[in-house]
Amino acid sequence: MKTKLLLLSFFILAAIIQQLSPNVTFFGNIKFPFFSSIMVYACFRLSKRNAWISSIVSAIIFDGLEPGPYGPALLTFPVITFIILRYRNNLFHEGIVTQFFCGAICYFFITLTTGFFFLVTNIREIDFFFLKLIGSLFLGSITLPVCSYLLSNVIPSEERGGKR
Amino acid sequence: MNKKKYRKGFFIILVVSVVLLVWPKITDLGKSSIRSLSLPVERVGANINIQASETASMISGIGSGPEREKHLSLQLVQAQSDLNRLRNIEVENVRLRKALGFKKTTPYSLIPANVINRNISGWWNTIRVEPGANKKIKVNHAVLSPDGLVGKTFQINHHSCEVLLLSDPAFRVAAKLNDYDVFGIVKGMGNTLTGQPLVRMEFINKNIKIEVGDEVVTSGFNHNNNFFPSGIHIGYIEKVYIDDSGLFQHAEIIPRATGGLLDFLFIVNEEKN
Repeated sequence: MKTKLLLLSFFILAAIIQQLSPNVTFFGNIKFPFFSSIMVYACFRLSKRNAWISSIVSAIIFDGLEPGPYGPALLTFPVITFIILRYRNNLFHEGIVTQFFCGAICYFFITLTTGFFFLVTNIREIDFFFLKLIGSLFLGSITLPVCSYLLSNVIPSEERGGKR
Repeated sequence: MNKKKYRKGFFIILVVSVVLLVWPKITDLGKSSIRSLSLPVERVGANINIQASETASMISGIGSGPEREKHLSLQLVQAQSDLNRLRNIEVENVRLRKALGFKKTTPYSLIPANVINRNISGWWNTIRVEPGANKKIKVNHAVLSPDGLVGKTFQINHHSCEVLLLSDPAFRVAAKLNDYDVFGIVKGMGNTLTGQPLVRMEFINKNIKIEVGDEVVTSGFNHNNNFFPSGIHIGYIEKVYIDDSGLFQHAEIIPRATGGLLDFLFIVNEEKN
C-alpha cells in the first residue's frame, strides 16, 4: 500500500512538473517525459501486478490532463508495460546504458503512437513530427536515468523480493 | 495459469480503452474528475512558480522599481483619458444606432481567471485556467489579456477550463482588418522552432491592398455558440501572400497577446438582458 501511495504521489508531482515545465521548442515543442519515465521505472522495478496498476492509473491521469480524447496514453502505456514485463528479466535494467536506451525507445514509441493516433483520428494537425521523434529519443534518454536514480532511493524494487 | 491471467487482463484493458475512446460522456466525466482532483496540487504548483518567478525578477530588477511605477502611472493616465474619450464615443454610437433602428449589440462582462497550468505533453497549445463551470463559463468564449485576444475556452470542468491558444492549429476566429473593414479567418499555425506563435489570416479579398503593420481585430461574426465580441485586438500584419489558387490573399500575423503562466486572463461572458 505504501508503495502504491508513494507512486501515486510521484505521478501527481511529475504531472505538475511536466505541465509547468516549458516546451523544448528546438524539438518541435515536446516536453521532458517525467511522467512516462516514472511509469517505465515502475514497470522495471515493481511486481507485475503493481506495474500493471501503475501503468493503467498513469495512463488515465495523463489522458485526463490532456485536452484531446482518451487514447494516446491509454493505448501506449499498456503496450510498453507488456513489452517491459516480458523482457525485463533479460535486461540489466539498473545499468545506466539500459536506462538510456529504454528511456529513448519508450518516449519515441509514445510520441510515434500519439502522432499516429492524431493522424488517424484527424483530431489535430501535426507540426514538426520528425523533429518531435528525434527530440523524444534525446529527451527520453536523459529523463529515465535521472528519474530512476531519484526514485530508486525512495521506492524499493519489488521484483527481487524488495532488494535494491 | 499466470499467462492466462495476463492475457485476460490485457484484453480487459483493451476493451476499456476502446469503450472510453468512443463514449464522449465517459471521457468528459473522467477528465473532469481527474482535473478536479489535481486542481489543489496544481494551484499550489502555480503559486510556487509565480512566487519563484517574482523573486527572481525582483532580484534581477533591484533599483528599477520607482522607474516602473512611473511608467505604469503614465500608462494609467493615458488609459484613463482613452477610456473617457471612448465612453463619449460609445454613448454617441448607442444613440445613433437607436436612431437608425439597428439591433442592439450583445453586452458582455469579463470574468477574471488565474492560469494554473500548461499542457502536459506539448502536443496542444493550451493552458488551464481557474474558474470553470462553477462561474458559468461556457465553451468557445473569447479569452483576453490586457494586450488582446489570447484564445478561447475549450473544455469546461467544474472548477477549471482549458483555453485553446490563438497559435494552436485547431483555433479559428472570424476577423477583420481594422482600417479597411476587410474580413477573413484567423487561424493558428503552431509555434516556430524558437517558440514564437504563428498565426495566419486567410480568405482576404485579393483586390484590397494590405500593408505590413495593419491591425487585425475580431469581426464579431459568431457561429456554433462562439462568443467573440467585435473589435478585440488580435495582432498586426507581418507578411502578405497571394493564395496558390489566386483567389484570395493570406497574411501572417504577429499576435500581440500570448498566454503565459504568470498571466492573469479574462474570460468573456455573455450577459443576458
